Amino acid sequence: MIRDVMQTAGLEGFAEFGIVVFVLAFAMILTNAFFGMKKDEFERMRHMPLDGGESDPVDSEYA
Amino acid sequence: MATTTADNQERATGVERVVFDDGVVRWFVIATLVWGFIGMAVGALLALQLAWWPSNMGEYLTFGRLRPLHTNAVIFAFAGNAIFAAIYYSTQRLLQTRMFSDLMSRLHFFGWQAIIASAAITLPMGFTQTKEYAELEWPIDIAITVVWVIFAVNFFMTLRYRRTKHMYVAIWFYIATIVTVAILHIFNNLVVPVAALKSYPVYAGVHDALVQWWYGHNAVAFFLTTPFLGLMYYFMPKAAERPVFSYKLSIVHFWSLVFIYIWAGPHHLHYTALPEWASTLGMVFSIMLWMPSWGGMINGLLTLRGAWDKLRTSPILKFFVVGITFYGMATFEGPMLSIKAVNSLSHYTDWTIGHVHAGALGWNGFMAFGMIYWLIPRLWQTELYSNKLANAHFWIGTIGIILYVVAMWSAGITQGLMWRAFDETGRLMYPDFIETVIQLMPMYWVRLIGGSLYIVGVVLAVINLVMTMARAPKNLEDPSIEVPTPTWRISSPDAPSRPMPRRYDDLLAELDVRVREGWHRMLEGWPLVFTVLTTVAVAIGGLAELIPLMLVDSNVPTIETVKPYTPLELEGRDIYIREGCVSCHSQMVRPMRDEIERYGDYSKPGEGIYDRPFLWGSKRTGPDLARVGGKYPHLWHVRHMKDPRLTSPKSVMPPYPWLLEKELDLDGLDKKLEGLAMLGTPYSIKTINGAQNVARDQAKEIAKEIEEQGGPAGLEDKEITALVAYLQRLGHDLKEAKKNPRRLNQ
Repeated sequence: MIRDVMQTAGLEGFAEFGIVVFVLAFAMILTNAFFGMKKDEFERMRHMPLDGGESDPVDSEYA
Repeated sequence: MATTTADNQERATGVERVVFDDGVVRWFVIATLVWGFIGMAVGALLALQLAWWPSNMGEYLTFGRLRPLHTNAVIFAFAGNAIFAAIYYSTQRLLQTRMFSDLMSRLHFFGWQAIIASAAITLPMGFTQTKEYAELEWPIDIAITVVWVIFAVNFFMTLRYRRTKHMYVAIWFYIATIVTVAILHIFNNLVVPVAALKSYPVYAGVHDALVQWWYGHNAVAFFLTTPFLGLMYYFMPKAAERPVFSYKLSIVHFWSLVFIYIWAGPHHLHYTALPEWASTLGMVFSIMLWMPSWGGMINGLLTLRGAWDKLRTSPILKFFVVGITFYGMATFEGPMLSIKAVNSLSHYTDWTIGHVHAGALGWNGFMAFGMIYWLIPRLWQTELYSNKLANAHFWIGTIGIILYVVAMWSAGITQGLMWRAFDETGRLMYPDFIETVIQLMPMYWVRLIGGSLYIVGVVLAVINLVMTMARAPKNLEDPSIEVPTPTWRISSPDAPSRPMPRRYDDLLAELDVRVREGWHRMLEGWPLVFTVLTTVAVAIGGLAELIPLMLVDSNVPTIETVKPYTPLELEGRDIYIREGCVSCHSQMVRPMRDEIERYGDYSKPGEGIYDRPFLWGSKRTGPDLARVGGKYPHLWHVRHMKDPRLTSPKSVMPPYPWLLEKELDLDGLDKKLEGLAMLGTPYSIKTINGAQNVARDQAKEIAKEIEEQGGPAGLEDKEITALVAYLQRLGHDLKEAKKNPRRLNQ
C-alpha cells in the first residue's frame, strides 16, 4: 500500500523540493545575519568565550 | 544539581556561585591520550601488516580483524573522549552553570570507556556487523544508545538551567552533534539479533549500502567535524586571546553545514549498483559543502588576526592553526573526490585512506592536542611540564602527517592508473592484480614511518601530561565563579519559590525586544526550538534520499535467478564477515571497461536483495570478488586460504590455516535462517528446521570434490568448506540469468 502510494506520488520533484527549502532558509539566514542583528550584540557574542568562566589562572599564576 | 542551599541564599542577594566540575574533564583528557596511543599503535601494526604480511600474528591479530578496532578506537575512543572533554569544559563556562548531574557525567565517562573496552575485546574475536564504523554488535549498540541518552539528558538539562540567555556558536555545534549522532546510530543499527553477539540488518543490498554510507559519511560530519568546530569556536579564541573573527559568518557556517552535510553520503557509492539519481545528489551536495567548510576554516584562522606573532612561541596555536589548515585541505579534497570522474580513479584505492588521515591526524588529532595542551595547566592547576616537548610533538607530528598523506596519495593514484591501463592491443596492461599491489610497497613503508612519527608525538604528549600531573597540587579544587542571578530565567530546580507570574504588558515588551533583536537572536535564547530546527535541517536530507530508494521498487529491479544462500553458504558468508575479508576485497564491479575486463559483468542492484549486510567494501588491497564464483576449483581456495602465496606467489594476504582446522559450528544455523526469514528472505519452515542436515550434506559434497582434486581429506566438518561454498556462489546467480536473458529483468 505505502509502496503503491509512493510510486505514484511523483517523487521526481522530491529532491528539488529539498533544495528549494534549503535555498529559502539559507537566504533568510543570510539576510538575518548580515542585516537583521545589532552590532553590539554581535560584539558581545564574539567575546563570549573570553568573558565567560573563571579568570585565567595560567595568565595570572602559572605563566 | 551542583547549586546548593548557600547558592540559593546568594540568589536572594542577586549573585550565584557556580562551581565547575573539572574532575570529569580531567578523566576525559587522560582517556583521550591513552586510547589515542592504543588506537594509533594498532594503526601502525596494520600499516606494517600491509607492508610485511608475516606481521599478521595468528587468528585474532590479522588485518581484517584489527582494522575495525583501529577505526573504532581512533574515532570513538580518541576523538570521542576529546570532544567530551571539550564539551564538558566549555559548556559549563559558556552557560555559567555546572553540569546538570555529576552522577550522569560519571556514568557517561565510565559507560563510554566500558563500551570501548568491549569493542577492543569483541572485534579481534570476530564479532562484527561489518558495516564501517558501525561494526559493534547489537548489545554494545544498545549500551551506546543508553550512554548517549545519559549524555544528552545531562547536556540539555544543563542548557535548561543555564545562566546566560543566549547560546554561543560552540553550543549550537554540540546540539547538532548530539541530535544527529543519535539519529544516525539508531537507524544504521536496526538489526534482528539471532544470537548473543550476532545479528542481521533490517536492510539488504542497495538499501543497506545507502543507509550505511548515509551513516558513515555523517559519522565523519557529526562526530569528527561539528563537535571539533564547536571546540574550535571556543578554544581558538581562548588560546589566541582574541574574539572569534566573525559571528555573522559563524551563523551562516552552522546552518549551511548542518543542512548540506547530511545529503553527501551517496558519493561513497559512485558507479555502484546504487541508482544514479542518488549518487548524483550526493555529488552535488558534496561540492556545495566546500563553501561552508571553508567559511568555517576562514573564521577559525582569522580569529588569530593581530596575534600571528604568538605562533612562534605557542605550541597550542601551532596545533590549532595547522589543524584548521588540514581541515581546509581535507574539505577541499573531499568535494573533489566526490566528483564522479575523479572518484572513478580514487575509489577503492589508498587515495581515500590518505584523505581520511589528513582529516583524522591533521584536523581531529591536532585540534585535540591543541586543546589538551591548553587544558592541562588549567585542569591540573600548575605549569605545563615542558613547552619544548610540546613543540617537539608538533613538529614530529606534522612531518609524520605529511609523510603519511603524500605516500597514500602516490599509492592511490598509482594503483588507480594501473588498474585502468590498457596496452596498444586493447588488453589490460596489468591483468594480474598483484602487479598493482607490489608497486605500492615502498609507499606502504613510507606510510609506516609517517604514522610511527605521529605516534612518537603522542608519546611525548603522554610524558608531558604525566610529568605535569606529578607536580600538580594534591587536592585539586574545582574552580568557581560568581555570576549575577539571571533575571530572564523563570524556573530553576532549586529555586526557593517560583517568581510572580508576568503581566501581559511585560510579555509584550519582551516580545518587542526579541523582535528587534532579530529572529536568529531569539533562537539563540531558545534551546528547544533551536534543537528542533537543527533536527529538521538534518532530517530533510536523510529523508529525501532514503525514503524514495526504500519505497520505489524500480530502484532495485529484481533478477529471477537470484536466490537466497544455502545454509552452508550463509555460514560461509558469516565466516567471511568474521574474518573481515571486506576490509580488503570489494564485491562491486563498477560499469567501467577495465573492471568488466578484469572481473566480469558489472554488478546489478537486484543481485544483493538477500545480502544482509551488504559487502561491497570500500578498499581493494586484493581483487574484487563479486565474480569469483566458479573462477577457480575448490582446491584453489583451500590452498589460497592455507597460505595465499601457494596460489599467488607475491600476495600480501595473511594466511588463514585455522579455517582448515576449526570445526564447523552449525549450532544456531536454524536461528540465523529464522531471523532472515523474518526479514523477508524466502526460507521455508522445512529449510529452517533441516538447515543443519542440508549444510552437512553440501559440506560433504564440497569436501569430496576437494579430495578428488588432490586436496586434503576430512574437510567436511571444517570451516573452510563453508567459506568455499560461499565464495563459489559469488556471481553464480547472475551467470544463470545470462544463460536466459529473459530472466534478467534489467
